[in-house]
Amino acid sequence: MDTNELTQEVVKTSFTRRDVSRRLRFIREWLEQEYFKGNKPDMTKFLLSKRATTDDIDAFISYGENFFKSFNKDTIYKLLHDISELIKKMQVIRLYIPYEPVPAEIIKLGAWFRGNVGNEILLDIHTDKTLLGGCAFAWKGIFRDYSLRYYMHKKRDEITKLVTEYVNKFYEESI
Amino acid sequence: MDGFLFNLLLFLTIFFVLTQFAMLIVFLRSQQKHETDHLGDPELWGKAKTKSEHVIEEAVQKANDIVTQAEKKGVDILASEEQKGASLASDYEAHFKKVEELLKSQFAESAQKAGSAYTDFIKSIEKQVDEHISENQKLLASRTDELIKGAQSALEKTSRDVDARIKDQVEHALDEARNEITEYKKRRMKVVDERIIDMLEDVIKVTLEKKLSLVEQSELVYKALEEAKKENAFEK
Repeated sequence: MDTNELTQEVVKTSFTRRDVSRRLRFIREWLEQEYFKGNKPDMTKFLLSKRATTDDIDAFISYGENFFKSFNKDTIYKLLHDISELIKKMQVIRLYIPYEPVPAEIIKLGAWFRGNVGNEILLDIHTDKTLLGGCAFAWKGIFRDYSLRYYMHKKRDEITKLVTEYVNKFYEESI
Repeated sequence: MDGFLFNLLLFLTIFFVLTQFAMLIVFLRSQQKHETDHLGDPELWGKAKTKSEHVIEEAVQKANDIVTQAEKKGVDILASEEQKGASLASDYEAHFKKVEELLKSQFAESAQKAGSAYTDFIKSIEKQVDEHISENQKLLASRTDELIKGAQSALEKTSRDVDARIKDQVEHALDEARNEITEYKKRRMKVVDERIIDMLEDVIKVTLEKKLSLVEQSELVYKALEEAKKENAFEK
């Protein structure tokens, strides 16, 4: 497999920059273990010892034997460096959501972006509780706010009027 | 007196001695003169000498008599003077006692007179003071009444003026307070209007955290993403 194919394989199951860099690290450590330390332990056990998540293990399994056979003692670092360089060129969307997403949610979000925006997209997810609901994102240098907070500020006058009417009505009824 | 007598006696003694001495000198000089004048006549000189000796002896005798008399007189005088002095002293003492008694009686009389005069004086002063005090009290009472009446009327007038002024000021202050309250209310409402969204945000934040599940929140995110896609937010 060439560099592009290797990169595609890594990116196929990794939707965020964080996941990509972590999995590249696992790949490097795994290959170092195999080629420089002389032993080839069980992959799952190895990944668990490195505190990999279930999704990391699933991703590793999905790479297949051909993926790891593309590396040898002399090409490990060069190939990994080239893969990193290609990944750096990928477009990144900085996404702001009001809760901390679980790994499954990250995959779902990643899949939505890959399906609706493009395959060459990586996410940089941040948690911002002040958004209240909805989300906001920065894409190609432009920040767009589709959060509940934004809409509340947009409709401030109407909301204020509603609240004032409600308060006046409340006091009239109480008197 | 004793001192005077002593001095007198001393003077007489000295006078006698000087007289004796002078006579001796005269005699010696006369002897010398006789000796030089009558060196050629020893018989005459013998007679003269005898006569002069006789004269001198008489002179000496007389001088001694005089001195003796003088001394005697001096002693008599001294004795009499002493007597006189003693009698004078006793007279003087008696006189002094008389004078003392007289002075004592006069002093007692004067003291009694002064005491009674002083007592009378004190009584008169007390009477005058009492009269003054009563007069002053009457005057004070009348003046006090006048002052009280004057003060009362002035106080009533001042009280009325103060009441009126206070009333005006209170009304003025109340009007100002009402205006301030109205202004404050407007300002606060303005602040509330500005803050209403922030307050709503806080309330909604707490409410959504408690009420919305992760699935519902996730749905809101996808709805927002769909809205963004509709608005072509992801155009390349």
